[in-house]
Amino acid sequence: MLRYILLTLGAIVVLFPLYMAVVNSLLPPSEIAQQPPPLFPFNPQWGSYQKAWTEGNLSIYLRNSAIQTTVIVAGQLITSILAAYAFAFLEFPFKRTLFFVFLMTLMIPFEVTIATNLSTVSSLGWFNTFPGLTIPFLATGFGTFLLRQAFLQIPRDLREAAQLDGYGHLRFLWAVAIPLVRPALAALSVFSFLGAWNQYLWPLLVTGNDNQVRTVQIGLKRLINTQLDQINVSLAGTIIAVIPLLILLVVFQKQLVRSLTSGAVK
Amino acid sequence: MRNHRFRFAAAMSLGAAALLMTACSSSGSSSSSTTTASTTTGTTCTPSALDKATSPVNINFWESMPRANGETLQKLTDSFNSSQTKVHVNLVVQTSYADTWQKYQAGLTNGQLPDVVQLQDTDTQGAIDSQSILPAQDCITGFHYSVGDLLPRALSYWNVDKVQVAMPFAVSGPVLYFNKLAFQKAGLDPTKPPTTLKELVADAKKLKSAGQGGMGLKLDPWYLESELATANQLSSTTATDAARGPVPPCSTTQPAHRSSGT
Repeated sequence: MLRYILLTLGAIVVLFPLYMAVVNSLLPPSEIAQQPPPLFPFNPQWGSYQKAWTEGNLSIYLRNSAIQTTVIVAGQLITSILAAYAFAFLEFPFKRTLFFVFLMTLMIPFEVTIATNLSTVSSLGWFNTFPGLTIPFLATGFGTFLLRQAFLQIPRDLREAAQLDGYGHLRFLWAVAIPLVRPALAALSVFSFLGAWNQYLWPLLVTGNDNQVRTVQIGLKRLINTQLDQINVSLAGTIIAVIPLLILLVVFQKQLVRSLTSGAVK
Repeated sequence: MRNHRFRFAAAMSLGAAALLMTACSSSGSSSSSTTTASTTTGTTCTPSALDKATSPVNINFWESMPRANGETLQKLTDSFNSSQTKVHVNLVVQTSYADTWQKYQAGLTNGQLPDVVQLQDTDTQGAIDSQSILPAQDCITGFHYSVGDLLPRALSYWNVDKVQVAMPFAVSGPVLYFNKLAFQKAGLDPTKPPTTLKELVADAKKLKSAGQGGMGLKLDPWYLESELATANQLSSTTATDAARGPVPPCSTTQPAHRSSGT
């Protein structure tokens, strides 16, 4: 009983800002600064969502974000699966050193390499294009690490049995290994999706003078800046941008928790 | 590896057509060519340079003007573009002044710089140090542009070592709002609002003791700097320090640095 009370209190504390964001996005601007703040919009102004959508060009930005995120997630899955399989099942020279190098990349903050990355990407001609937004992030040390742990869980006997049946590496990977580590794959997808969707600094620097590849995070910041005192419109824009994440959270709740705690176990 | 784009006095023509608005920013010409440094002799930015350039010259103008200011700027730009065919200004709306500066700095590494950029006053020295901007002085000299209709104080704010580095554009001034009803209730005269910092503090104390709130300050460096500049307390010299008297560190009873406000 006590557990439920505590959990409910915790839920209220965590969800309250989100609830207030929705409430404020539906209030007319004059009511937002009222003291005490209204807890329910009795006169919901749905127009603010309309305004955020059109004035913030959110349709274009959401599309760009969707493309960018899908490419990054797909890329990270593919490269992580292949690298993790290699580290788990193959023997090759300098394996341990290479794995160490992979782990080292996790320890370098992204901001340290931004200037060099930007120069490299621009000299490749990828400034203000989708490749510029996505290719630097197609491989990740975290994903490799996570999936290697998952692959190592597969019993040796299964591998040997497959070898007896004449399965080569690729077939074993596709038919046996991947289905077995599906939870870890889902966890990695969710983690990558969150990371890619929420990126701000890199898209800000790589996008140029038009709306071709600007993502929704930049679009939101622009909306907030251009709408200034119209807090309801800014909040409406933020809610619209957060909806895909909320859907993801609800559908993949279990995997998300697993991915967040994966570093803690074993 | 820099792109070489030469954009010149067209920027100044835009400046001539533009009006002063009321936000907090300045505008500087920037060109990503390597002939930069501070040429103030009016050799780069001249009408003949404009004639020699292939028209229409395309200018990317990075700006982050909020709401009505942004709309006004768009209208001005449209009317400028339609009034002549030599220069076309392309407004690129950035997310915020701070982000514009970040993007500009990133652009120094890959040559993706704008032709005209709107930066905050706090970024002026940084822009000079980047050695990538063409001072407005060059265009002023080259076009024999008269800056007489601009406020001297606004001009001087972006004048470094007698060189007009940037043109004031959409310069903000903080304003003081006071609640007339609260004034009445606290026994103050609503037709006589405070005109000096000293009076401001005294009135705020009266308002507070009458339960009418007091004074709300936005602790943003720009606000403090502007208020001090307005009160002519911006730079500290021995004379002003002496006039100010011993200043106690921030305490709850006496606001620091305001005791000798004029």
